[in-house]
Amino acid sequence: MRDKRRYVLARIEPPWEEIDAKELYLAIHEAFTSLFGDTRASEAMVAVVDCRDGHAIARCTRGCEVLLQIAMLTVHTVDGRRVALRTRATSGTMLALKRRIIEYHYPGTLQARTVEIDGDFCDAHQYQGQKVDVIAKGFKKQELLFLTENELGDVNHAATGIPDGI
Amino acid sequence: MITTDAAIHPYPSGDSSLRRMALAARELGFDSMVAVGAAAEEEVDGVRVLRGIVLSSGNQREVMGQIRKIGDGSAIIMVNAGDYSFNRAVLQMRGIHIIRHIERTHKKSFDHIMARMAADRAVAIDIDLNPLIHSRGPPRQKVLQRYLDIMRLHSRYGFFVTISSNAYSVLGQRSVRDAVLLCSLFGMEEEQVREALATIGKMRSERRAVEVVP
Repeated sequence: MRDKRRYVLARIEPPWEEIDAKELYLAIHEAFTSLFGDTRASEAMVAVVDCRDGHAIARCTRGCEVLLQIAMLTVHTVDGRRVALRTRATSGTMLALKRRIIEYHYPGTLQARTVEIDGDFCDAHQYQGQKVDVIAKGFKKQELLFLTENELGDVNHAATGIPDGI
Repeated sequence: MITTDAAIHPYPSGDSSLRRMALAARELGFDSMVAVGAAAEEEVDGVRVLRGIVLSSGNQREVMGQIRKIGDGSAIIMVNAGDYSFNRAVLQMRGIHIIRHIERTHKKSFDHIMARMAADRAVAIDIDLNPLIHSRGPPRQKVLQRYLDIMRLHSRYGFFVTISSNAYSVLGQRSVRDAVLLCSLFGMEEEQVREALATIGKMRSERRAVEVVP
């Protein structure tokens, strides 16, 4: 007999990170197993059924949705990239959650741009009006800076680096 | 009821600006947050940003000296817990609001005697969500065990409890609902979590009520 399923919708932050559904599944499954053990993980039958537009839909058996939400909260990296999963809704059907994605998603609000910080050109992503994520290429690895549009103005006007005021 | 995240670390300690973290806090359902290292108390994008100071010295004399230097009473002063005698001495000092990182100390470093002292002196014990998110296996099991012990003592002696994301990035911040879910791992009820998130607002209003203005 087929078990009843529950679907959990989560927003992926930062929304510009392109996360592979399989990698996300592995991260959620690892978090779930680490928290609740193999027995509960086998009962929950966690799966990632959709992952696009900065949102992911994960599936589990009915009764395990709270555990799945807690496990999703403890996911902090996916395939070596830092992310946060913000759970937004739980439903018995995927369709209901897909409608929610359309409600939350504002097409065209995610803009890629280049910004100049202290003479260096960095990639940046602007979304939800004033949020700007700057990808600063360091000596060894990339570093992320989470700023706002106003602060980016301050950075560009500063003679050296990021001002202390931010 | 004012909902407060008891510790966040904006730029330069973390990778996110204060304004960006305030924006995230508002979206996540907080009315205020304690920013460690913030220059002054201010309102940022509808979120009250309180100035937080962390004293991490394990020496009680140094801690006392630092409290005297800070002195103005507007900042939220937090002390990182240490061994039994240090924690006991800290609880007897004036001007300390929160003791944090109890989960990193020995099991016997916070007992029923100190729980009673914390209740009498209105000093809060912090529950840090960061190790629940970022650690795995035995270290997280130890943290969960310590939080369970703290909550047992809290239900018996009624000292204040605060909840902090201790986030160094917007990615580390968690919502009020997330805090409820994470705290359910060690048996905290939703009402207790909401009460703990409102503790700083409550402590501040109580202290303000007895403030003597010359």
